[in-house]
Amino acid sequence: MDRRRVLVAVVAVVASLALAWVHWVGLLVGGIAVGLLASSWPRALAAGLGFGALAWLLFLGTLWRVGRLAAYWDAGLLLYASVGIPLALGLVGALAHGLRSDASTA
Amino acid sequence: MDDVDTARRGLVAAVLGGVAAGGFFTPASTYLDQFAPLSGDVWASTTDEPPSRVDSEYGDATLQYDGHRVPHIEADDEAALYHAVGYAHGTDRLFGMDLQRRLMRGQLSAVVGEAALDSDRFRVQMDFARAAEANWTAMQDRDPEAAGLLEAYADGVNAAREDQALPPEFELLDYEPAAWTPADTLILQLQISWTLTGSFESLRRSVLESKLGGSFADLFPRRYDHDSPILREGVGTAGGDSSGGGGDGSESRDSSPVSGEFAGWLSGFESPPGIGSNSWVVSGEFTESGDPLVANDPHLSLLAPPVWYQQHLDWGDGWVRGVTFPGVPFVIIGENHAGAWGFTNAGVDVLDCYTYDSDETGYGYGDEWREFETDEHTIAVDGAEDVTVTKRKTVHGPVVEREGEEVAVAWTGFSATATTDAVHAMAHSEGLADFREATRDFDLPTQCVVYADRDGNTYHKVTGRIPFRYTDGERVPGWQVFDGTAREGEWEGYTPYGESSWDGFVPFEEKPGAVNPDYVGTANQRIVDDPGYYLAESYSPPFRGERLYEVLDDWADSGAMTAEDMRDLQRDTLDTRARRLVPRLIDAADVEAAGPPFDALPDWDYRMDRDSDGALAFAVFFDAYREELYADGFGAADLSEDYWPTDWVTVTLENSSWFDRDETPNSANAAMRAALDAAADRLADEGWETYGEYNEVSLEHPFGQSFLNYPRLPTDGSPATLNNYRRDSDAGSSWRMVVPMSEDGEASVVLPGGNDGDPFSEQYDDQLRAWADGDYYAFDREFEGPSIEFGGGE
Repeated sequence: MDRRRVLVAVVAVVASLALAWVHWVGLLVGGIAVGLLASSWPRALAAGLGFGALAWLLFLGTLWRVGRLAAYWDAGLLLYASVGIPLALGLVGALAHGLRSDASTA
Repeated sequence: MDDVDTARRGLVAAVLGGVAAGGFFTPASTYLDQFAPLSGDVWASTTDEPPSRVDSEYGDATLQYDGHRVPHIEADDEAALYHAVGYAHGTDRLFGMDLQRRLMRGQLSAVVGEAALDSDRFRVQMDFARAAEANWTAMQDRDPEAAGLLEAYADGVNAAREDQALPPEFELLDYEPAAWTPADTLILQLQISWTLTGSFESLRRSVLESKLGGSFADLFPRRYDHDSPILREGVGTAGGDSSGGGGDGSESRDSSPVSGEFAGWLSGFESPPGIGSNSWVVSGEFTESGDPLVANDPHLSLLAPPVWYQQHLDWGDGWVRGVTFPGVPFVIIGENHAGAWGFTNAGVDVLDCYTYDSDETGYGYGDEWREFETDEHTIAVDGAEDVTVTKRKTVHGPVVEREGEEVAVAWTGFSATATTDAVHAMAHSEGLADFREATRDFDLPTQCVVYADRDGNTYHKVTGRIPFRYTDGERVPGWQVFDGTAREGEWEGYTPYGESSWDGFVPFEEKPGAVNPDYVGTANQRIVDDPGYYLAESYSPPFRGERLYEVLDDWADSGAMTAEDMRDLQRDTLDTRARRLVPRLIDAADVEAAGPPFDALPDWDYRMDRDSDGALAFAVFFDAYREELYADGFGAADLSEDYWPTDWVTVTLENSSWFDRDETPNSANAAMRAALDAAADRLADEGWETYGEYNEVSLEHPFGQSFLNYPRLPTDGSPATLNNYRRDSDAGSSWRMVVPMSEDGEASVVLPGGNDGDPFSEQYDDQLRAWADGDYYAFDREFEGPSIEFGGGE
């Protein structure tokens, strides 16, 4: 990946995270962005999952900052939902790789 | 190839579009809006922190938390102070406050659906909301200053509600709370008063007597045979014989005026078993320091978060610290610059039921025919059709109806009361004289208050308005269901949903009490052997009361009691049920042959400690013994477990006609032998190895989601010990407080949970383990946590 593409990816991820801060659709948009920028299907899907994981880690940071992390680990369904949502939306968003003209159908 | 590309792109676009559309336009949107990390409303509610500055038209105030989320609030002006208190309650406990007012207003179904409809129907018919409004109207005339403080408090709650993200429970239930009002504060006071004095015991007893016949008196004695009333001989009672009789009156009846189902339904709206309290005051003559000691631990439903909220308030020339119910601004139990006080439930009868000759429109009242006062009320139900309830009232109070059966209810709480003024005045009291004056206005609920001041005075008094009942001009006891048409059981000076003169009630001076007693121990037992008038239908079994006096009497001989002694007494686990029953069990059955843990009973010290084999054996045996004694006999009479006798009867029942019935054991000894076998089987099934595994604190949030519940912890104590916990109904010591009046004394307190209602906060349950282990925190605190400055508003 060249430097320009990396820069675009970083900006897209940051912008998507900023959007995710106010609406969940940011998680989907982030997945779309990294999927479109990826050079292959495996990289796209990995990038989508990675974006979801990054969003979740950022979320953990916000909980840690206000002293809510300990209780979060015991939150059961809420914990599972908050893990599953960014990973799923990031992964689904990364399917946007298929919109590229050079994406293979194989 | 182009076609393939186009198809692939179309498919991908369709998937992405479908996911996005599904996220916006299907039920999934609710989950995404609530739980998506970073943006989810549930997370916003817990990561949102209060602002550091809040505009307040009431003036400057400072709020700062300690490490347990206990706020210290300081202001020169009281309105500014209580505005900040409202902000703290609105920040930390808004959901619980809203839930309680919805409960009392009959508005739960609107957010939780049909499951709460029965509760809403009852409370709408009782019209607690109208009682609160009447109270608010009266308060504005009677005490504009205190009324102004309630308004400032309500504005504070609403400021927090508007400034900050709503607590997660609101997001999960998907509704927003309405603005808080002073009437909401007053309806919360009604809620706790109802919990403590709302009793349909007369109805239950009428059902029991008609169904059990000759066994009734053995199973439901009106008076327990013990020598440990709260005010014992030699202690002034302030009542006396001059107040007249009223203790006579037959309870016998051939048939109950209501069915067991109706009485059972109404009883479902009383407080759960285990509501009571311990408190005591010891004068300086018997303490090491020479200054009095005050201890209190009210036994209420234990919830996540707790029913109490701890707060420390300072208004420049005075201070108060202690606990209140979130939604009520003033400290209810605690200490101020001059003294300390606590409450236990008095068990006084302040509710009567009336039946009438009636039809759909009216009822007979003496020689008159009166129309019901009626009002249509619509109950909103989430996920179902609205339900219309016709509220009806008679001269006595509201009519409660279910499936064609009905009674009218008179209760002191339906009238306006001055309790709010009294609680406010207690916080400002400068010593015994002030506190007694404040107690005079404490109209509801009927409580035993104990107090000591820093001048060395001690005090005990029964609070609350207590009716005399009159039939044909004669005083009659309130342990019966009255014929309203015959004008039986009339209360004089009582106006439901209005202002009462209380002229026909027990005068303050004649209510039981003692000024400067040596020491007084209150644990919901009989208040005084002969008050000179009808006071209560029945009292709690005296297990805790007799143990309390046993220890205080013992320690009084040394004259050197300390605050640590008082904490030990609050942690006392000796169960006098066991002390009575276990010797009988050992005589009746071979406990050695039953194996462990039952073989530990002969050498057991009767202490309900978590690691005690004897405690586990006794607890499981006692459950089985009740089952053997009552299950079949009451079942044959169509009476549920809720009607079973108290533990006092269980441990004392020996020679009774109850054992002559076909459905009951032949004797108490036979029941014990069968119970021992059943207990061994249950232990094998459950696998409990310690009493702590049986006696687990398992406190749940009203919402029922597991992540909102508290962690499960083993604890000591039983329903009959001073260290009080009732596992079957999750009731027990809801706040433990020991306050010495000496300057260097260490006041100590603990809550069963935490002060913060946010389930993700570390302070949601940070005191639970200390509570379960019998530990305390110093009442003195370091307030170095988050702070909020109030002021500058228009």
